[in-house]
Amino acid sequence: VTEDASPDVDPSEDEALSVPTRTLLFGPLGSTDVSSAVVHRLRAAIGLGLLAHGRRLPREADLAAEMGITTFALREALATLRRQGLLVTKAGKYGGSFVVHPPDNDELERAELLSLSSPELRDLGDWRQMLASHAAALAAHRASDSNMVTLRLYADRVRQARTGPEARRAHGRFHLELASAAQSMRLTRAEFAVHEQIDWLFGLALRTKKERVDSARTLSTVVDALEDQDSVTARAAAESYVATLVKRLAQLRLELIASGEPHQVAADGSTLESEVGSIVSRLVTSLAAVASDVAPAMDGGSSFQELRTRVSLTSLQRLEAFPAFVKGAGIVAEVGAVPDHPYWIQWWLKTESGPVEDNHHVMDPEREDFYDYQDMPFIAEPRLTHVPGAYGPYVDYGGVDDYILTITSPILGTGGTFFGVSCADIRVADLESWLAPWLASAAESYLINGQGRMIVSNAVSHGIGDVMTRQDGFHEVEFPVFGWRLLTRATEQRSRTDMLTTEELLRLREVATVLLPGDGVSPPAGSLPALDDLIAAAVTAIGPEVDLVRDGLAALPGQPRWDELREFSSTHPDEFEVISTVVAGAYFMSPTVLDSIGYPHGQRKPVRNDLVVDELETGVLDPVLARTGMVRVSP
Amino acid sequence: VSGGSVDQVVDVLIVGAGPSGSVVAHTLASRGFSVLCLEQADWVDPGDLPGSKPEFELLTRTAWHWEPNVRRRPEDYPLETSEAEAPLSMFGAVGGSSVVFGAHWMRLLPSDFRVRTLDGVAEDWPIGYDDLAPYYDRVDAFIGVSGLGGDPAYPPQDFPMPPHPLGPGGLKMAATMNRLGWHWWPGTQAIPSSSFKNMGQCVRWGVCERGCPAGAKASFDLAYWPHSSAAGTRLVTNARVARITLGSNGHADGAVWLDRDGAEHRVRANAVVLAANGVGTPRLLLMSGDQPNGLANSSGLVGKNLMIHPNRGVIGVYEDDLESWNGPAGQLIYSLEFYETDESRGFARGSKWNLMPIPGVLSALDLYRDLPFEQRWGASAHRLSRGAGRLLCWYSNIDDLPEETNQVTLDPELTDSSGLPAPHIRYRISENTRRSLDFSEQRMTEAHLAAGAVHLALDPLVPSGHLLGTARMGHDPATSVVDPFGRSHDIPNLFIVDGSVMVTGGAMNPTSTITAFALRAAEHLADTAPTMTTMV
Repeated sequence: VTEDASPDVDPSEDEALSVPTRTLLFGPLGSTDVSSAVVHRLRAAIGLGLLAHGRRLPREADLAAEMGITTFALREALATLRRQGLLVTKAGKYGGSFVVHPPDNDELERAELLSLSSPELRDLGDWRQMLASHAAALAAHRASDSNMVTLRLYADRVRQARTGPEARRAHGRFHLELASAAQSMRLTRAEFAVHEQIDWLFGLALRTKKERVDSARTLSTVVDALEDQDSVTARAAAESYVATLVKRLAQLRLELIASGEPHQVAADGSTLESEVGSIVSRLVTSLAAVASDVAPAMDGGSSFQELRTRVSLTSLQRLEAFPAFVKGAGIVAEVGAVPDHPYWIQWWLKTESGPVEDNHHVMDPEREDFYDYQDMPFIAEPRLTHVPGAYGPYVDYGGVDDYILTITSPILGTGGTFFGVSCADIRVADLESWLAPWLASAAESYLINGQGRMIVSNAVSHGIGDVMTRQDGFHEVEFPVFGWRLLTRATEQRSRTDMLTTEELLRLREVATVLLPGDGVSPPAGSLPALDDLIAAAVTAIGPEVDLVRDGLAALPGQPRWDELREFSSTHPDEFEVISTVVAGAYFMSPTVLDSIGYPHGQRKPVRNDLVVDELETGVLDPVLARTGMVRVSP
Repeated sequence: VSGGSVDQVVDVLIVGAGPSGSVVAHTLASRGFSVLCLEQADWVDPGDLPGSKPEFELLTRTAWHWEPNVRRRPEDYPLETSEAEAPLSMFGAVGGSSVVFGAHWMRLLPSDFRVRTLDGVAEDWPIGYDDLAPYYDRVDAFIGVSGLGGDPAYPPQDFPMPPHPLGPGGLKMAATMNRLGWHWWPGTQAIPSSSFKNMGQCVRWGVCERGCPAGAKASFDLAYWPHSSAAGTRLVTNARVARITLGSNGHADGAVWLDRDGAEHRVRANAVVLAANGVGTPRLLLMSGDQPNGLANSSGLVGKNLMIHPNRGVIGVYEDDLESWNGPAGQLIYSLEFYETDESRGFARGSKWNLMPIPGVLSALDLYRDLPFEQRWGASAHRLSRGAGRLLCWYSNIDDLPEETNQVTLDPELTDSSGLPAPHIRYRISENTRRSLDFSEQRMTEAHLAAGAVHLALDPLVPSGHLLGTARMGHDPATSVVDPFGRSHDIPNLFIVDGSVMVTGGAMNPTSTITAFALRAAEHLADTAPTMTTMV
């Protein structure tokens, strides 16, 4: 394979490789899948900037010998890297394989982040944190002076980086140096590997100047602690550094989910609390409707066929009314309540092409894989309590690697006879995705079930199913039907601007979510994590007009929705204009929003001086130059 | 800088640190005169300018609004405008309104000085284009103007720096103008296309009219003041002149001014130069001397013949990305196609057009204010927001001819923060001006449609900072306030050097002409100082 252009060497990043790094990079490979190990190692090295753009790799024969692999295996690896656009190979005397750095856009990273489940992200974060903190603790006793110099250099590069990817490379180099300062080859190798697992995403968490400056400050704290040989502080700082990055990724993940598809419901100005409340009541209402529809048929001694038909008709009708994130629903009959069928489940899955009957549960007690649901909580409890309830999250009995919630409503005959439950299954991942716009904009929040186990959260510190112990500083709301509780970290009640009360700012947020619901391109206002700050900045910016805002808010109904705002815009046009200007002003201050519509922000844009020459050389001015007699003789 | 003491005497007292005041200060201080300049406002800290801030568009609606009545800063004086049919803009600062001007740097045409002779309207100036031409050149060279020489609508002229690029919007419209057979020319602007003296290269924030956050515009706090100060001018800020005082010989002998705390100060001067422009200067003259006529007003013309260049804009939204977030704004191109009188149009004189990019997302949304709620908000708002970056506006300055009934007087009730009477503005849009506005609107609309605009919005009357004509110059003391060098006919050591002296306004952005005149007046003052009895 040949390429016409070999990339230009970027000398700023092309530093001589130190002996340990060289050993690490090109040292013998132990892996059995030699070729893919080479790919991983070189890809990480390119991602870290260890191999600069335009750098020529050693000759194949030398490299293969150095790595202790066959030329054949090396060639296979290089071919893979070429396909991935990370190498170009040029023939001829000055040819060879040259490193190509992928362009600094973060689309791949975003896609990867979006594909991670929240437990996966948490798991990676834990692992990353462990590596960094352990390396820091060891380095506190082992680091040399030259390590310190290098560490400071990279911390500084994080600070001075102009883009996320640039900062991420410096971050990677910092940690590689930290591991090497810990004098542990194993740690260094693990550091190297972790780049491909999570570190390459950290560019997303270092996008803004502030993020980079804050992160660089923590890295400096790590180095300070190393100099003091203070392993406790070093460990803590390294840990908090990684925790912050992972937290930003988690936040961004929710934002990406929130902006990925239109979330019309996010437009109504609701909070996380009110949305969970509305989900609970919608589920209870829909399930209760199914239960009361089928109860007479189960009560009236119908034949199995009649019963089945009745249940099918009802359920299929009602399925539409379930929230979109409900993927399966049906009836689970009390054991022995249905003629000829001691165990009976009628179940539908929602699919793109409509409901599909799902018969995967084995109802034959003789079979080994018989689904014996009699004592499962989702039916055993309603049997006793006769009230709706929520069960889970648990890992799906079908063996799918998914957390599932089951919501039930009892089917009761006229005399209070228990005939079973109407029932819906929800994948926790679907619920999380549904709630993403609210999660993204809420303070640290945990939705937990009656047993104190976590269902969804916008924090990465706990995973699904983890037990949450009661914590101070959290505001708690209970949803009694399901026994669910929503814990929200109580934010300081400091007002972001002294021009409006917290209450008034909240009202503006509600207006913003209605007026700017987002579409496929721009995110919903309610999903912007900084919306409250942006609104406060907008209010401050309009200065004296805040009086009009205040008057307008006083005249607005509580929880303004679309129709109410439309009405308000005609009854209070002046107030509406200034209020809508404030919320639109706030929304379009957001870099995320401006990016979504391709509007540049915060940039000096000096122009190429000779551009005007190119423009005029097109001859565009010729017709004007041909004009004569325009200047009137003026005695 | 602290206030002056009672007994200080300077050669020249200048009132106002805007463009004309700073030019006079530099000129006279360089010639060895002791010069004191009193400015009612203060320096604008470039860090306070709104243009580079995320909340930029909101700030321009209040704290950085063009109209002082909306801004409500103590250093501006309010305007009584209930009898003004068009809005005025004004900005108190060292550098004056040039801090927020668009820096369109346009000379008048020769015909502008001879409208009576050529078109039978208003009055001719006592000076002509050729009198000002060398001063135009010298100010251009001093402040670093970027532009392209050779415009066939002008006598030969050239500029120290190359023009700015037209950009995709300018090119699109230029090609359209060619198709229509209409004149256009790359914008001339007092905005450095390369760094110049203490000014940086334009970095295209696109917010020139809100103050350049990059220090890359020849606002006069940057372009002249550092040099004026270096030459020895003493500038006192937050110094609001209450009245010009006369000596026993009937000559001006200084001023009384108030500091921000209301304390009164007295300064004595051998000559006084007023540089407070078309509203501030007549206001000060009317506040001074004997009431009700004020000072230097034997002609009765002080405050009369106010011209403001009523300005209409037609904004086009385009489908293609015109990068309208890129400055300078500034003018991408200008057109003088409709500048001169054409009797068939039903009005005299004409208009100067400039094409400007419009930055900001709220600006895009604003164009649809007339739509019903459903079409402005929800998904519609997101769709409309994508008009940002695709906006071009044609603005036309109208050559409004002088009328004595368009007038600045003192309001009997409204006062500024020092308790001094606010100016009362009477301005009626004349039939001639109205026809010219409507004609321009139609032609600008045609230009947009020919260029492929998909939506048009009208800005019927843009606030105008071109405040002219209220102390006109002339040879005859009965029909003018000052002589052709800005010297008061009544008080020989009192000069007026700002836009007040203009006999007619032309239709060009006037700062180029005002500063050229100020330079000429200052040199005349210096040259004739030995003959002035008050000069020691």
